[in-house]
Amino acid sequence: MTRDEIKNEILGIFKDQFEIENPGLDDDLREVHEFDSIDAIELLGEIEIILSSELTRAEKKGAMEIRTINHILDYVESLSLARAKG
Amino acid sequence: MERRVVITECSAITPIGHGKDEIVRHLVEGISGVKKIRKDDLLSGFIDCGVFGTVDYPLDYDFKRQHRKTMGPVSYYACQVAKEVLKNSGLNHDFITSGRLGVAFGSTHGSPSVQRGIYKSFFSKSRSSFSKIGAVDYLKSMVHTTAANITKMFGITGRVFSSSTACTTSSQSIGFGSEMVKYGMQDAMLCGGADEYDTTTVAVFDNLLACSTEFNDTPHLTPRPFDEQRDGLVVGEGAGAVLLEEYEFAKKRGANILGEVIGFSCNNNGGDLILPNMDGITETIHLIQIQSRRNKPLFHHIKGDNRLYGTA
Repeated sequence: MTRDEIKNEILGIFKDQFEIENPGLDDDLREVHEFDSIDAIELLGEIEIILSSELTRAEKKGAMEIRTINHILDYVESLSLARAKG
Repeated sequence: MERRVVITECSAITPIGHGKDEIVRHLVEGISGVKKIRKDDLLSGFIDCGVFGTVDYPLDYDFKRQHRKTMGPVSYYACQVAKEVLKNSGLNHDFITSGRLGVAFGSTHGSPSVQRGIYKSFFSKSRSSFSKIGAVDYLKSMVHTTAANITKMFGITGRVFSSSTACTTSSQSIGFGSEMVKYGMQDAMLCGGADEYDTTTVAVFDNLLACSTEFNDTPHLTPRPFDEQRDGLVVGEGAGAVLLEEYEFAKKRGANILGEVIGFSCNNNGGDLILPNMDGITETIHLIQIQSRRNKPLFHHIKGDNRLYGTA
């Protein structure tokens, strides 16, 4: 997946699942949009659907420091690349 | 000097109406909220009881997603009555979030409708189905979900506890909440209980032979405590909340005092969990007499099925 494709998917999830429309890519999601740890866990489930692949426990823990949409894109992009390499 | 505990606000969502005025009016008019049980694909075909106290009017919730996301149906009820009580109380945000206000709120067993979904996934033996159990499912379904969601919605930082004692859940919340105020641990307590519509709750009490079964075709005629034809309880949905405050604090801020909790007692049979014995009931009466310093206590709650829970 390209970064733009991932971005479209993620922004769609934020709009539909979290009722957050057009967040700034570098907004602090917690501070600006009240996106909390519960949302982060829910988002991981959505990312598994995007990737059509389960995340390992270590991969999930690696997401807990994410604060912005750009961080999420970096995270999903790296997972996507890792899976493409097999 | 002993601290006095007063009731300064209340609200309820019940099968016979929403809010004090409507509920009282319908009580006076003899309107019943008991309806035939809805058919479901799980239990309704196996239950002898065919009635349920049903909230069948629309409720206009206006909760943000941030609050909705951890709420099952039971918490919607709980948070709505809590919202009404706090709004009408006149308590300001600084006090509500100061740690001087606590919450005592419970339910029979959290959100059974959400629990259904969770257990369905557990027993599916499917990894993908198991993975669909969301982060919020436990928060929606847990026994203390009502209390937790109320604190979250209003930023309440005081003491929180959540009783789960079936029919006496709300009474216990009020009783223990009053002790929090009386003994100075909190200056105010938001107390109450809620339950949602689900046939699993009926099934449990039905199997204990506790439910009404003789009025399935005339649901408006049951329950009928103290009546010769009484045949058991009717499970219902809804929520109720009261605000308890320390008397001097309430008086100083000009709160409307609706009543006073002059004592609270509860104890345990230490034996049969379904059929209480007279010793337990007698001791509860004795304790409330001591508490309220009255020879003839006024009992807030004498249950028609012989259980007694005294809040004077």
